[in-house]
Formats: sequence, structure tokens, C-alpha cells
Amino acid sequence: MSVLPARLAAARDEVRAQPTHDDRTLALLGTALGVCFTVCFLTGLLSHIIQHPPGWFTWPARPAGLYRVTQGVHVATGLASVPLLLAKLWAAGPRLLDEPVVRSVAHGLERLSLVPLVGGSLFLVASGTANLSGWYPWPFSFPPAHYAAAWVTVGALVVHVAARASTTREALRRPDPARPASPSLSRRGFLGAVGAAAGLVTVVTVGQTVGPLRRLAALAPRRPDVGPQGLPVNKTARAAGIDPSAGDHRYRLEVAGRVATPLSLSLVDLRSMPQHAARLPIACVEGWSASATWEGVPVRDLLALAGAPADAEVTVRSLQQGGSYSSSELNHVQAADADTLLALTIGGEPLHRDHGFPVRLIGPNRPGVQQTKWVHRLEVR
Amino acid sequence: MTTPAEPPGGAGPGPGPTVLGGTPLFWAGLAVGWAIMAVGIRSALSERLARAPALARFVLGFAVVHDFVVLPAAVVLAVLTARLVPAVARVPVRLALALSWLLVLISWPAARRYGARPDNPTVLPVDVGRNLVILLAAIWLLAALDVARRVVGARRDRSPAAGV
Ligand code: HEM
Repeated sequence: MSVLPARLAAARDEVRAQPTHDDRTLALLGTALGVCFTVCFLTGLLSHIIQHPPGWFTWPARPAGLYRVTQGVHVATGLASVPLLLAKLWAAGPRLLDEPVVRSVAHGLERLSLVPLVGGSLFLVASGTANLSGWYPWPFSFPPAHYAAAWVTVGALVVHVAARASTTREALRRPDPARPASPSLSRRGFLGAVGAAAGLVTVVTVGQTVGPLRRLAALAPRRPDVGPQGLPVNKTARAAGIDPSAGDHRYRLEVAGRVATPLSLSLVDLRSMPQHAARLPIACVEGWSASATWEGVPVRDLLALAGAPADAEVTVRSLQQGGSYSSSELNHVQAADADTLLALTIGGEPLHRDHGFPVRLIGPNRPGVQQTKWVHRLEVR
Repeated sequence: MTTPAEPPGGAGPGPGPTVLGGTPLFWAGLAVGWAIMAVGIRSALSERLARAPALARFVLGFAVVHDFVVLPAAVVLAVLTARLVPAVARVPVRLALALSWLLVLISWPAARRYGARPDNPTVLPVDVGRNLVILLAAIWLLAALDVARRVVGARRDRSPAAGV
């Protein structure tokens, strides 16, 4: 017995029988989407534990560009999955009206789990996309909300995959049934269009991190070559509340904590120490990145001068007051790396204020939010 | 029952639905999946987020708005294009509509410059709104060319001189 009006039920069945809405199409889209979400989840979790490292986790300093790649892949894969997700929801649409609404306890729980799957997936891509252009139209902080929603969505995805595994396997194994030519779209045409859409989305955004493609980045919120000294800025000195006189003759870099000799160094002191240059990317958590040549004093030279132990870990503090990114941590591997610098110059010029004048941290393989600017203190542990 | 709907992982072996339903694989997946969801819910309730009810409203809201607004609206568009657009042009028009909707969705915040900050010209340095209009124009131009190609193709098929 159908609770739907007969005409609606008939329309549902007619649409459901089209190749663009059948099991095979859903299986193919679902598989692609499953791969994309898995990639997003793993790269996202990685970004999370790099920023909130549990005791067992030491993020290496090499390869220097690894985080740039993993987070670039996160954002690119997330954006490319938008057309897949919309296509999947469209293709599965008629099944929303399947009857009976609940056939068994298992079926009911499966359908219930679709609510967090659909809502969570849409929330993840919507919040991620809004965050890319610095828009936060919600009353919570982006990373913890996106993080919690990721677990909920992936959990719901596991339920969905388990429920659909055998149907999917069968639909993928069965040879594509020959169908009478339909006046509307074939499966091949539909999936081809979805793939082309994913490609287009990638081409017009990925230039924010893949330099040679930057001219194609028509819809990207960033250009990796636009900014003072040819580099984008996430937080300006003014937004961080940095006093315009920061870096004048009163500036001191303090090195304190677990050291034999605490240091207090002026800019002149820092400039007279041996300088080391390194070409390193700024790799923003938001998926854009850009490389530059930085020069300054290796953190490990300062630690040696202060008589810090070999396994020293360091909290790097900014002149910025408050805010979750006003300090960052260097684990013992990062602190000991020759290219982890307190940079004084970019491309031979003193740092622009918005890049952290007088002194900023720049190290290999770190998210941009951990490349602390306007540094005034190293606390050694 | 009007449709032989897919059983979830073969809910109910044998003929006739059972009350419990589900294969062992389904129940294992349910246990693992809900445990993973619990990690997210616990994290949402921790003080790092502090606004769990608001997040829950957003996630639920997306599901509800999709199922009851976006999907019906898409169905209405599909019906309208079936009624108003001649069969020969229907596929390119529908694809162009879908692609336009997609590009508007992913670029909306940037095109409207919601995240722009007066002190930081490196955010949104390119005019995404203008680029979006150009891309949409290109898509509809391609769709128009495709329609023209199909019309010519259909004429040729019908004309007696076809194949000469
Ligand atoms: C359009 C799609 C997406 C975009 C643009 C996007 C963007 C981002 C960005 C910018 C971050 C960095 C947040 C930060 O550290 O400040 C992030 C983190 C993360 N993303 Fe996504 N994301 C998308 C989709 C997804 C999906 C589908 C998943 C999971 C299946 C996911 C899981 C995560 C996780 C777990 C994190 C770590 C959050 C944290 O650091 O606590 N994302 N994402």
C-alpha cells in the first residue's frame, strides 16, 4: 500500500528506472565520492594532529613541502567532490520516496543514518568553501566544527557503505545493460558531465597552490603571487594589533626557559649572527601556498648559544596579544632543523610588517598558522 | 509496495521482510560507523567548540533544506525544462543549468566578497564575481553551440540527401 499519490509514485518509478538514477550510476558516483571523502578525512586528520599533536606524534621537518601537498590535496579534493556530491544526491533523489518508509529495524537505522550523512557532507563542503574566502556565517569556530562534522559524516558513511556494499559490488560487476536510446541523458553522458565539472572546478581553483596554474585560478580566493613582497598575507599587522613601533631600537628577542644562559638580543645582535637562507613555502591551512627565499638566524643556533639541551622543544611567542595563533610549538625535530629560521628578510628585503617585521618564524613542513609572525620570545622546554 | 526497493545489505535473507533485517556486514558497519560518529559528537561537546547545538542545527538544517527545498526545486526545474525546452536542446540546457548552479555555489562567498577585509588586499585579489560571469557566459555559449550542432544534425538525418 502506497502512502504517496499514485501519480507521484508512478513518476518516482519512471525516474528511478532511468540509467542516470539506477544502481550502477549510484555505485560509480558513490565509489568516487567515497575515495574523495577518505582522502579529505585522512589529510584533514593529519592537519589536525599536526596542529594538536598527541604525545605519540612527532611531525617531521622533511620533506619541506609535504604539508603544502597534503593540505593542497585536501582542499582540491574537497572542492572536486562538490559536483560528485550534488550528482549523487540528484541521482539518489527518487529513493527518498521509497516505500515502505521503513522495512525493518536495519532499514530504519540505515535511513536514519542518511540524515547525518547528507547534512554532514553538505556542511563540510559548505563550511570548507566559505572558510577559503574568509567568510564565517555561523556562530562557532570553523576548525572544531569542521572537525566534529568530519567524524560524524565519515561514521555515517561507514554505515552507508556497509548497507550498500553488496548492491554496489553487484551493480559494478554486472555488465552495463543495453538500453533503448533515451531522449534524455545516458549514464555515460551524465557521469562524463560530472567528471568534466569536477575537472573544471579544479582548474579554476587549484592555481592558488600550484603556481604555474595561477593565471587559471579564476574562482580562487587567493593568488599565490599577490601580496607585499610577492606573498599573500593571512593576518595583517593591523589586524593582529601590532604596534607600528614594533621593531624599533627597543625590540628584544628573549630566549628563556630550559637554557643555561637566557638571552636578550636586539635586532642588531640578530643581524650580526651568521645568517642562513632557505627557500621554503608558506602553506596556509586554507589550501593556498607560495614559496619564497627567507634569510635569518636558525633557531638551533640561538638554542646552542643559550645552552639549551639537544632535545629542546620551543614555544614561539608573537607580539600579537591573544588569538589562537599568537604562539606556536616547535617539536625537537623542527627545532633542530637547519632551515627552521627566525627570518629577518624575504628575497633580500627586510620583512614587510604584514609578513611579521621585525622577526618571524619560518620552518620546513609546517602549516602557515604555525609560522608565527612578530616573534619576540622563544620559551625552551 | 510499489517498487522492489534495495534491501540494505540484503535486509532480511529469504523471502518476506523480517522485523530485524540486515546482514552481519550491515550490523558490523553500523557499530563501527556509530562509534566513529560518537567521536565527532564527543568532540562537538568538548569545550573546543562550545556551540554544539548550533552545529547540530547547521548539519540538520543542511539535510532538511536539501531534501525539502533544493531537491524539489531541482525537480521543478527538470519538469520545466521538459515542458518548455524542445527535446533537441534539453540535454545541453540541463547540463548548462547544473554547471551554472555548481559554479555559483562554489564561488558565491568569493564572488560576493563576503570575506574581504579592507586592511588586507591579498584576500580576494581577483574579481571572482566578474570571472564567474565570464565563465557562465562561456558555458551558455557552448550550450548554444551544442544545441545548434544537434539541430543541424537532426535536420541532416531527416533530409533525403543525408549521407551523400
Ligand atoms: C569543499 C570541501 C572542503 C574544504 C574546502 C575543506 C577545507 C578545509 C580547511 C581549510 C581546513 C583547515 C582548517 C584549519 O586548520 O584552520 C580543513 C580541515 C579539515 N577538514 Fe576539510 N574541507 C573540505 C571537505 C572536507 C571533508 C569532506 C572532510 C571529511 C570527510 C574534511 C575533513 C577535515 C578535517 C578532519 C580537518 C581538520 C580540522 C582540524 O584541524 O581540527 N574536510 N578543511
